[in-house]
Amino acid sequence: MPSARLLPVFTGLLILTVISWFVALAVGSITVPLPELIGHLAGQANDQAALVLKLRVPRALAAWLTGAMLALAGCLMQVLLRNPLADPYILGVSGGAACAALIGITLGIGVAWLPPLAFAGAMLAMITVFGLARGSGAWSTTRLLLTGVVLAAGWGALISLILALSPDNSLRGMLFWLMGDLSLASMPVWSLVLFGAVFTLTMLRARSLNVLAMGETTARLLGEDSIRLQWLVYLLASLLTAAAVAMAGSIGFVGLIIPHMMRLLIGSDHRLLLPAATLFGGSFLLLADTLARTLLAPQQLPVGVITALTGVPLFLVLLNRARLTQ
Amino acid sequence: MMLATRHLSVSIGDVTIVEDMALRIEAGQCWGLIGRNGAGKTTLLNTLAGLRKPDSGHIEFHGQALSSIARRRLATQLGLLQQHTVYVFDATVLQTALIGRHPHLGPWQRESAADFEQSRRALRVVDMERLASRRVTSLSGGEARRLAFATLLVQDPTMMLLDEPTNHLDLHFQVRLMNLLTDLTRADGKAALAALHDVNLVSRYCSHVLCLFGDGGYAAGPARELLEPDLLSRLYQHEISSVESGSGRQFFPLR
Repeated sequence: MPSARLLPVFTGLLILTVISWFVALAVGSITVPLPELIGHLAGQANDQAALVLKLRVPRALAAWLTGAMLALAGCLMQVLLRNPLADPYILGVSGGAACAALIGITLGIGVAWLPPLAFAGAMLAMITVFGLARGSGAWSTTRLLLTGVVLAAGWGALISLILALSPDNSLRGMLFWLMGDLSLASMPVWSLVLFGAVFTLTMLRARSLNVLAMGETTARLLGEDSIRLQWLVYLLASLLTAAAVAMAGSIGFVGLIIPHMMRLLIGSDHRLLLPAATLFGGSFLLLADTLARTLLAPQQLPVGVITALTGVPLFLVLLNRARLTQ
Repeated sequence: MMLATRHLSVSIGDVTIVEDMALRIEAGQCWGLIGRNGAGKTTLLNTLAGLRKPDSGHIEFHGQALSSIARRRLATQLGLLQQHTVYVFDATVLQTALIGRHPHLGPWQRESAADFEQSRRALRVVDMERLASRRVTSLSGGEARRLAFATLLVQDPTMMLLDEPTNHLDLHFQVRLMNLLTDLTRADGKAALAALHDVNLVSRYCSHVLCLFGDGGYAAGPARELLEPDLLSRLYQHEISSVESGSGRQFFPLR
């Protein structure tokens, strides 16, 4: 879009990323002053460094990655469905994950097993939609959308059923999971690898995404194998969502609002939109998670509540400004 | 021979659009495609663009089976202006026109200054250069139509298929677009096949005409030989008469 705006926007995003990381690592039960923090990160070893490196870095990375993955998945889903209101959860990936996780909690499975279980549930949901939407060969995004939305509603009903049947003492844990919560996050090695791979792949096909956003027929006329590209986008978005949900539960809002905000700021060229949404999504969730664990400390809030409570006004302000400048 | 069909049969649902059609479109020719609503003009154009498979028969592009040409390579030489263009996401007019360069660029290649210049030139041709930084979702119907045509110009195919290119255009731009098409075909050695509803535009600008009768029957040939009130009356199932005027023969429907 206006290229004069690109430099300030990306500079701002980079500064925001750095600030959000420093804040997340410095703030908490013990506040670590900036010079010492830099010292710890540079390899200075003591108790405080252990706190920063062993506890805060993994959680900060998990938060940043979750936000980045959800924002990226949101961009992809919006292109795939050609609908700016699509979010990563619209086709029921998170519903499958939530069902699996809640069943796990009901059965008293160890906390460490919840993320792989949730990931498996997300994959199951993704494959079900894929299989049903594919049908007998004829394929359209409308069919994918309808199949996904209907299945998502089905998952929602299952979730309600599980909640209704669960004993009171496990309800709290379940609700936290459903609202999105990072307090159980560990060092997200696999998610980091997955995110890196998907981000690289989508950046390589970013101009193809621009063409796909014009419609599948237009994309074919401009030389794209639309159906293959659409399946690829669906697969990548679902993988990102599954990894994010497995790590942090279903954090709402980020995947819908962040891509939207970035479109308002820099336009719809995916070569710029994908990195911008990724950077902003990551920083946004990292700051939200820092708030979630410090606002009412020692009590931790579900980060999903913070993302919605801060995201709604932020988005409305931006939307209003965009309308004024048009 | 740019685009040729042999024994081509196309149908949609239980409507036969063409049966056993032999068509030969050569460089320098501008074809008008006419027929009643629902006669299958769009479906035929989509088939010739390789978007859907024919029931039977062959389509050849530059002597090569259309279905055997890789989509990306085909897109550099054959383009279709669709009947409708819906812009869901906001982008500027210039960015949208620039999309036409997509098949010409490698996956990781950025648009060059020449690509931008070509897009600006195309916008100038449709008189939209001043709107280059406007958002596409704020365009009027006619402006969106001109932008879609500019995008086709940027794609720069040798074979242009156009589905009702004059839709939403005012008189001035209808004539301007048809002048452009005839320039591109006569001077630049391209070929065009345009579905049109205005018989007088066809008779004035098109060198050839393809008529679809809606029952699988068709007539194809030089416009001067084919365009007669008798055939048009049969085509539109409405009595049509003609008068000679200063700018050629004019057709008009009787009441």
